[in-house]
Amino acid sequence: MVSACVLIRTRRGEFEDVVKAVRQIKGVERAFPVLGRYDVVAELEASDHTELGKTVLRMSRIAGVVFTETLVEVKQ
Amino acid sequence: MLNACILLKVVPTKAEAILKAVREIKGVRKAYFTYGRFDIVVFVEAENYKDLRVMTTKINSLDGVRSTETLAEA
Repeated sequence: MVSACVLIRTRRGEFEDVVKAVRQIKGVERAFPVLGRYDVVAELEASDHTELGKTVLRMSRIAGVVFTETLVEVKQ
Repeated sequence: MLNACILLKVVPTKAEAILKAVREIKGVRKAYFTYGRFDIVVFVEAENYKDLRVMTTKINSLDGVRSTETLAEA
């Protein structure tokens, strides 16, 4: 399993719709709106990096998402 | 419950010790090393903002932590 943290910026005032849409995506374990330099944070779990990439791609296509930054877990 | 994501930049030689210490702090759900702009990502669940501040203060005081960025649930 590979985990990742995705930091998302949304168009102004659209973070609620984005959070709802992000939560529908397979592989998203948890997502919540945040205060600070980003608008939404998502916790992802995937069987491997390829699947993780697909999930992030799907997320970046959600209406209202303008920027994502993915922090992928370093496997020890 | 209040979710938060805390992003850490740490001194490389102290990273292992910091991750171990962070994982022992009450309320920490998940913590791991990451590629990218930050070194460690921590997911916590706090009772309230005061409880969250206790956690961030504890994490900030760990030897070797250069900076933290806390994203608290809105």
